[in-house]
Amino acid sequence: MHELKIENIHVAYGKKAVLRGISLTVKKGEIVALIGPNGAGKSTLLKVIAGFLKPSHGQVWLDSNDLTPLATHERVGQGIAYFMQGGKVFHNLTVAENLEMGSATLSALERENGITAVLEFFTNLKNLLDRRAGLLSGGERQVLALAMVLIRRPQVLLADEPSVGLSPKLVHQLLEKIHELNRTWGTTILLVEQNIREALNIVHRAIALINGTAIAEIDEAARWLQGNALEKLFFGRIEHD
Amino acid sequence: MLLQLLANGIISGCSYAIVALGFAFIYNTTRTFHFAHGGVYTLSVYLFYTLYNLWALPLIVAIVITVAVTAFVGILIDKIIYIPLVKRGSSLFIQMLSSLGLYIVLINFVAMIYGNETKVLSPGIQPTYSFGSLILTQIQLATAIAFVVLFIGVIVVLKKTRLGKTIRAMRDDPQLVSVLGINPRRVRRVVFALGSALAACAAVLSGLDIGTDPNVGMAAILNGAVAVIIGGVGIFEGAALGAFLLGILQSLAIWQASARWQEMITFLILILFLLFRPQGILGVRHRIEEVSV
Repeated sequence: MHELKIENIHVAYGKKAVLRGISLTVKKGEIVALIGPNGAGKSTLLKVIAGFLKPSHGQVWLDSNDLTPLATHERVGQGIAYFMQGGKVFHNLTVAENLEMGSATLSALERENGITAVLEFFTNLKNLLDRRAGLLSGGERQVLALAMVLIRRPQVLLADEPSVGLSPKLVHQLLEKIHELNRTWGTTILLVEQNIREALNIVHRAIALINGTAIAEIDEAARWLQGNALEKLFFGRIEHD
Repeated sequence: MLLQLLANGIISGCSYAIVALGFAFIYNTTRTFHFAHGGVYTLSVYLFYTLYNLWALPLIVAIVITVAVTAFVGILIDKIIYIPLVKRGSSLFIQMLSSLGLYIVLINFVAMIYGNETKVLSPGIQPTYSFGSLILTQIQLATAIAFVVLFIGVIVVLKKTRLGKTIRAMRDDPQLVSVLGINPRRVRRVVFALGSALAACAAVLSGLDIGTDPNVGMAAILNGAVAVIIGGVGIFEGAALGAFLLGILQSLAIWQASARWQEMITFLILILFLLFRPQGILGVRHRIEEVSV
């Protein structure tokens, strides 16, 4: 079982507490969304799991491996992939070179297989291999960024707002692709997404965060898409706080 | 006369270009304005002086040891000075100030041991070669050949090898490099080693040509940094082109005025570029989303 487990994570920027004792588990093959208003701590939590931020307290586990002391690049070796907010790519490298960077630490055979697999999955990249990544459209860039972190066939994908800046049609297509990834590759996914309604269509569970605290776990996503249940959850809570 | 001055300018440009390539390796990749590159340059030429002139080691052995030790010094500077600053989240400005401080420490260390007077590394009259009306010394010719070999080597490494692509990737986005499982510290070690080794090559050639004193590093780093900026930050070929432009214009300035105005020419060119072509000779304006990352 490749289970991602977060235990009692606390993070503060200076004196301001951003995450206040968050614990959660993402089981193998699950897609779990982190939802909540801006500043709730969703992206910060992903940065902690990816190893970019050191928590003042708490631990990150992948199965029985404690990832907390590991640097970002070491966590990648353990099976964690992190799609950074905005779909980061190397602008001055071609698409092919970007893919090569995504497989830089793999053996020649693994590299070839990995790149072939992502090009089969994201077929539109095949025609763009010689193009400089800085010249790609927003959607193409997000897809390339996703392809780069998937070449290693990670066990867990942390996706931080993969659809940011895209048109509604592209948002739908990208989230569908993430859903397909989960179904066909069995990748466990922890997703932060502003398009909550779109996200709830593809996830198994969602966890609502406000002010660095998990306030609710949503098992039946469809139920929350009806009426104004989501608005009540967040705005009711914010007013209450 | 003009042809000879142009040739002299190009040879100076070769030397500046080797320093600029080294500086560009470090600056383009880590974004650290490595002022101490000048100190490393000074240190390496005095190390060579010790090995070659004082200990009488064979020329090639002295060069190899100098380049290797200087590469190691570059790695040490990153490990001891810059990495701790990066870990603490210090700004690039703080890193530059620390680098400037280190430069002063290094040249004072050299001056304390060897004194301030100029050291001659190749005594006697150098052999010369004539090409029509052009006359070049053996060291000038060696400098030109060294530049061609090193420049081709650098470009091949950057464009054709995975290490080079990783270095270019790190220039674009160091965080993304680590997200892809690459250890960014290892890449830093490589660029500091390569950059410092290039400084050592230029320092040895220049030292053999015109001798050395503890302050040679300042002119080297200024010319190198200006060459990188006017050539186009982030473009390694631009650094070489900027260096040639500087070398030739300085040479012409010496012809028309005096060697005293060399530095004025350097900074005049820098100011003109910053005002009218800030992206440098080979630089291109990027789309907003490329600049904002």
